[in-house]
Amino acid sequence: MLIVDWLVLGAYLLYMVYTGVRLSSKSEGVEGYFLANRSLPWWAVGLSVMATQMSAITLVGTTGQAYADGMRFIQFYFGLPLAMIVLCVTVVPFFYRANVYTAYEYLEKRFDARTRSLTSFFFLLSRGLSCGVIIAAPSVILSIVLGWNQLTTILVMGLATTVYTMFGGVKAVTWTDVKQMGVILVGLAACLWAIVSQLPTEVSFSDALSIAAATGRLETVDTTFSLDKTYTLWSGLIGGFFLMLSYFGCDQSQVQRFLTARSLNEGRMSLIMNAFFKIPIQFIILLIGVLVFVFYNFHQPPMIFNAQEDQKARSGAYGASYQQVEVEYQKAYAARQEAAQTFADADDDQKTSTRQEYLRRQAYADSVREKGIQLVKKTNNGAAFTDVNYVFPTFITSHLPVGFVGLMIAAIFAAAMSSIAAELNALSTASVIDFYRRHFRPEATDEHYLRASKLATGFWGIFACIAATYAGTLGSLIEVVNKFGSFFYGSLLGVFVLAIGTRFATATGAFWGLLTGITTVALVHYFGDIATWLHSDILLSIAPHLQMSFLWYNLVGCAAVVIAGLIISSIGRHKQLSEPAKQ
Amino acid sequence: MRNLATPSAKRFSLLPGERNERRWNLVYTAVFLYTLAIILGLQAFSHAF
Repeated sequence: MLIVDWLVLGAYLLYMVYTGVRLSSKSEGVEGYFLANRSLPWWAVGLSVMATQMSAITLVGTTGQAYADGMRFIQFYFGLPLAMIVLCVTVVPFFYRANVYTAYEYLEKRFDARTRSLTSFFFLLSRGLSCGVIIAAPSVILSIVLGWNQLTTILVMGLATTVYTMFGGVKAVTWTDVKQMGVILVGLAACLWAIVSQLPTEVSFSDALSIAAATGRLETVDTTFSLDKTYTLWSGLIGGFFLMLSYFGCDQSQVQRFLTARSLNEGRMSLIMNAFFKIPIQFIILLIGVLVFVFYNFHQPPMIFNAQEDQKARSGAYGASYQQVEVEYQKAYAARQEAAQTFADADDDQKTSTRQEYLRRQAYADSVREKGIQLVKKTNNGAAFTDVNYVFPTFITSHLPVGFVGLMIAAIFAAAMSSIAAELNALSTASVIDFYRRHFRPEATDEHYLRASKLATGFWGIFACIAATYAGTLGSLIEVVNKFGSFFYGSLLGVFVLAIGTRFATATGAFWGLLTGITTVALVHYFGDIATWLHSDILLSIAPHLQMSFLWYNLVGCAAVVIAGLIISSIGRHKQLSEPAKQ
Repeated sequence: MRNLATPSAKRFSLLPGERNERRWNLVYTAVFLYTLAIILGLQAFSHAF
C-alpha cells in the first residue's frame, strides 16, 4: 500500500471514532443510549440493519467463494424478503407495543422471568464469544495481506469500535453504520469499475460474463431438492426464511436496530428496505468475485493467494516440488489465457468448440493448482487449508489503482466494525437490562444504569479483543461456539412463535420447549457420531437420512420447540384444570 | 368453550383483527412479487450468457 492508501484508511478510522464520540453527549439516559429515544429515521435504521448483517467475512469470504465456485451462494438470501414481511406483521408491532429494550424482555411480559433470563443468557453466551470471531477472522486475513502484526489489526479494529460504541451508544452505532455502509457501497462500485476497466480492450463486459458462464460460475438458481446440499432454491427459501426470521426477529443485535426507529411504521420501513436491497447488493458482491476470476484469466494470478502459506511452502521441506508446480501453473495459466481470449473473440458458430478448449485448459490449471494446495497441506502436516478468503484482499492490494486500495481496505474495516459495534451494543443492552437491572439493582437511578451500560460496552469490547487474540489457539472451541449458535437460532425462533403465534402456550412450555429444541438440533447434528459410538446398526441406517445442511437446523429447532412447548403447555393446563376437582 | 389464555397471553400475542392496514398489505404483496421476480430474473441471468 502506498502513502495515499494509508491516508485514506487512516482518515476513515479517525472519522468513525470522531463521529461516534461526537454523538456521546446526545445519548441522554439509558433509553437514549440503547434506543436513541426511538428517534431515528427509517432509512438510517435500514442502512444500519444492512451494515450489521454484512460482516467483513461476508465481503471477503463471499467474493472468494464466487471466485472459486460461482454465485450460487445468493440463494441463501431468497428467504430474506419473505421473512421481513412476517416480521413486519408479527414481531415488530409486538415489540413496539410491549415497549421493550430487548427481545428477551418481551418474553418476560408474555411468559416469565425464567424464560427471559434463559434466552438472554444463551444470546450472551453465543454472541459474546462469536464477537471475538468477528474480529479475529478478518484480522487474520488483513494482517497477512497488509503485513501487519495480527494484534495490531485486532486492536485497531476492536478498540476503535469499542471507543465509539462505548461513548456514543446506539446513536453512534447507527450513524457510523450509515457512513460505513456508504464506504462499502462506494468501495464496491469503485472495485467493479476497476476490474472492468482493467480487462483487455478486446474483452467486453458481455464476453467476461460469457467466460464466467462457461465455467458455471453464473449459475444462481439450483432447483434440485436435497437436504444435504447447502445452497439450493429450497434451502434458501425455506431454511433461509427460518434463519432470517430468527436473526432479524430474535437476535438482539438486529432487534435493537429497528427498536430505535421513530415509529412502528418507520421500524417496518427499515426492514422492507432491507427486503428490497439485500439481494441486489449481495448480487453485486458475488458478481465482483466472479469478475475477479475473469480478471485472473488475463492477468497472472498467484498459485496460492495466502502469501504467508505460499512463503512457508516455498521454503519448507517440499519447497523444490512446490516451485516446480508453480512453473507448471504459470504455463497452464498462459495456455488458459490464450483459450479465454480465443473464446471471447469467437463467432457464434465457433463458440462451442472454443468453449470446450477453454474448459479443458481451465480444468488443467485447476488440477495444477490443486497439486500446489496439496503441497501446502503437506508442509503443514496435513492441516486444513482454505485459500478463498485471501483472493479478494490479494486482488485489492495487487491490482487496484492508488487510493482505491485504501478505500477498499477501509470498506472491509467498515464491514467488520459495523457488525462488531452492533454486537457490543446488543451485548451491553442484554447484560444491563436483562440481568443487572432485572436481578441485581432494580431500583437504581437512570444515571447509574447509563454508567453501567458504558462499562458493560467497554467490558464486552475488551473481552471480544482478548477472545480474538486467542481465537487462533481456540480452534475447536470456536467451532463449538459456532455450532451452538446454529443449534440455538431456530430454537429461539420457536419460543417467539409460541409467544406471538399462540395464546395457549405457557411459560413452562416455552422454557422446556427451548431446551428440547436445542437438544433436538444437537442430536440431529451428532446423530451419526452417536450411532457409531453406540455401534447400533438401526441408528447407523437412519443416520444418512438425517444428514442436512445447517440452514435446515433452523426449521428443525423451531418445529421442535413449538411441538414440545405446546405438549408441555397442554399437560400443565390439564393439571391446573384438574387440581380444583381434587379438593 | 373456556378461554384458556392467560392475561399476559391476551395482551402480548397475536389477536384476531389486529393485522396490518390495507396499505401495508400492498407493500407486503409488492415484496412478495419482487422476490418472485428476483428469482426468475436470476434464473434468466444464469442462462443469458
